[in-house]
Amino acid sequence: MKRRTGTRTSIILCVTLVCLLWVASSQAQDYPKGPVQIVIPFGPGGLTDIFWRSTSEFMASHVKATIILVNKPGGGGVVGTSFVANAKPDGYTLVSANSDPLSMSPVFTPNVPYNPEKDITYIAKLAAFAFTIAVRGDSPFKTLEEAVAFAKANPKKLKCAVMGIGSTPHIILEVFNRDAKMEITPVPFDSGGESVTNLLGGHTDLCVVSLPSLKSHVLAGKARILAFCSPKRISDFPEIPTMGEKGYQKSSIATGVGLAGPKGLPPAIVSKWEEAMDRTMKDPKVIEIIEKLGGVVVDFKNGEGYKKELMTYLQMFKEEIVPSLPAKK
Amino acid sequence: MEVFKDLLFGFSVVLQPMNLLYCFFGVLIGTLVGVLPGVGPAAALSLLLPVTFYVPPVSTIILLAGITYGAMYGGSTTSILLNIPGEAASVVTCIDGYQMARKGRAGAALGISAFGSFIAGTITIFMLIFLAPPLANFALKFGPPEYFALMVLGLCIMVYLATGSIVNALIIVCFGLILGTIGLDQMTGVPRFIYKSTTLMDGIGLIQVVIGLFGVSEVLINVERTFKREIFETKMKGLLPNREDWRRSMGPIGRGTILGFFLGIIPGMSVVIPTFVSYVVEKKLSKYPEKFGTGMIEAVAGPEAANNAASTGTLVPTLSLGIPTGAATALLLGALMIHGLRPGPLLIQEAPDVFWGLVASLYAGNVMLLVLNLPLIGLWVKILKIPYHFLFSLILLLCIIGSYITNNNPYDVIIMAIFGLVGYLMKKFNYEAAPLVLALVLGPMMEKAFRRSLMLSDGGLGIFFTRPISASFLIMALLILLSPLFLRRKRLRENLRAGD
Repeated sequence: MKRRTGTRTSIILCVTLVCLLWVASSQAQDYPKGPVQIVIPFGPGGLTDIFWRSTSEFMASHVKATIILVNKPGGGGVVGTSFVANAKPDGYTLVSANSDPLSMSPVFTPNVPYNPEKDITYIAKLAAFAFTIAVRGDSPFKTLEEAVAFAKANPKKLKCAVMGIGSTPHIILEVFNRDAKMEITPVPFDSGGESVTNLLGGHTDLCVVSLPSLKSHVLAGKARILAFCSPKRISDFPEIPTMGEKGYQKSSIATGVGLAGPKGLPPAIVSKWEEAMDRTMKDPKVIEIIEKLGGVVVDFKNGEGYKKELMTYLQMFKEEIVPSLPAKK
Repeated sequence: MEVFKDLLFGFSVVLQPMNLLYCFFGVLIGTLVGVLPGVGPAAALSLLLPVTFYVPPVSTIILLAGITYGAMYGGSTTSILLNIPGEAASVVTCIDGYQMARKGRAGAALGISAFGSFIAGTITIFMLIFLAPPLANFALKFGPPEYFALMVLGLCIMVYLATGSIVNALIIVCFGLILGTIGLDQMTGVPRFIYKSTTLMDGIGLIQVVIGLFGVSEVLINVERTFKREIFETKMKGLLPNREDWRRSMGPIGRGTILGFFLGIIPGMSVVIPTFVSYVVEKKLSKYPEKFGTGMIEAVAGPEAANNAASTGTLVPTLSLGIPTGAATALLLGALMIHGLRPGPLLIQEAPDVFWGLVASLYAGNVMLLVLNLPLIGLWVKILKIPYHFLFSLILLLCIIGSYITNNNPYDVIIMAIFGLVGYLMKKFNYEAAPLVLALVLGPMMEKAFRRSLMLSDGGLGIFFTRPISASFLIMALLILLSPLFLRRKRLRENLRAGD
């Protein structure tokens, strides 16, 4: 009888041992000596999660370390990011540096427990996500101009599905609203998938969402993209314009995913990762995988460049967007 | 018929030895993941995602889907044996399943949940084949007002969940709804009741509450008495369900299957809610509703069939619309995307081997799960023979691991411990835990749906009554609320008195 229950005990023992291993792997002379933990500040299944899980193996081979990906979701990425901001700067705890918790939440969410400028060491920007403004396939709006004209004539009549307040899609819509001098009401949903469902079901008129959630519906004719919120056109849909081309430069918010660590990360470790990431992002196999995801584009920048990009946006949100938002009730 | 030709093609894909092997691994991992509390199918899927590069897309999806429905089989094991729900979807199974175990009928409870899951799994495959395209479009009709109305209906039938006093149940429901408001408000980003704690930003975790309320509090209660008296000393009566059990379970399994499948189709409903609905339905239909909560096999068979059916149901929007219904299905979609396949309306034409292979693998996987789970029952039941003073430390360890591992956050363990204490006090004062769990699931969804609806209607309440689906749900809710006044005045009065 005892032996049989042994399977159960051994499962538990294994789990405990693995937990202990993560804790034990600190203090190293020749870095990296043990596995490196990269915190993904979102739950499994999101675009960021899938990005890391499909590329981390290649990163590991370039940096010659074992990478363990750990999901710490919560608060739109703030929980996981804050965990790493407070971690020991020994290079064994890094974080997926997403634009949402680093340039948006500090502006739009009260009590963010870290300062994105001072508490984070940026290593690199890896890829950018393409967001789209879309309507249903049977919508009367064929172009962005038609939607803008209708919205101007009928303030608050159009509803647009976005992800939670303070998320990239929401900010894109607010900037668009401000620059086009119109009022489209944002309706916040929990995820990109939910936004798409509500667009297709006819509950909202428009939807701002990342391309992968929408792509198959566009190909099936159930949805139509009016414009991309990206710096340049997307190769899969060369005929669809960008927001910049339509005169809404600022709505083309560059968002994306990078790598960062806590403040005080030794420069030697930073440059080791930066170099390894540069090589990973040039690997044709990695580029192929990323392209298959659809709507994710390789966009490598070094740590300084990524920090500058994020901080420029943070400043713009603070100075230009917050004052134009309708007062919070 | 065309469909059968396609299905045969699907079986020809699955019966290739490699695919059968992947299917087996999938359901095996799923069962293990289901047994371990806190480790959900999503966590296992995300760990395996990188492995799937080297595997063809059909095998990938067979493997990963196996984990999701395998977990529904495994989830009931710890619920029945130890009163720790392996998955949130097995909370309801705790109520009567654990009582059955205490009466020496753990084998029957485990057996009926395995058979119930198998039957539900098999029936829903055919529902998936024939009903997927029209149902997917029906699911899209559920906008915020429809969700809100459905939640209202859910809260109304919740009153019937209570086995004891209705007043006490209502108090607990309110407590659960209040707990549900904790966290960052999704609509405005305003923090509510979080006192600058980053852990509370996303609200109080369902898994932590469930493990605390059921697992830990049960240990506390038992530790109080067991040093004098061993529980489970009653002799095991049979390892499999007997004929009487079957007779009583067939109805609940059938109803649970249908309920689970249809509720599972609606994106965002989660697999948890159908199990509660199934429990309530069985209780309402039973001739002995007062015995629910004391180890009724109907209350195990129905919800267990429902959670399995729901996990097949979630594949409808996932495959035909490319819309994930939860973290696990989102990862399934991710796996397809890594292989360059686009889940959505075009999947059946673009990759028929993936679609039909998956459908056929559901059947193969369900057979494997049954074969795998039945011999395990004998082994699981023996766990109960371990003296409780050894067993409870193991249970507590499982609880701690389970609550930590969902978010890798040590503070979650503290939350679990607090709810263990809350659950202990609730038991002492005759308050039930199940209504709290359902309120915690429904509350935030209901609030969000309500506020989204008002945003869509610019603040007008009319939106709930002018849309046919939402209006009919609300009318049903009203009828349920008023029915006791006309029908069972006397019984209600008795129930209320019991609560004093």
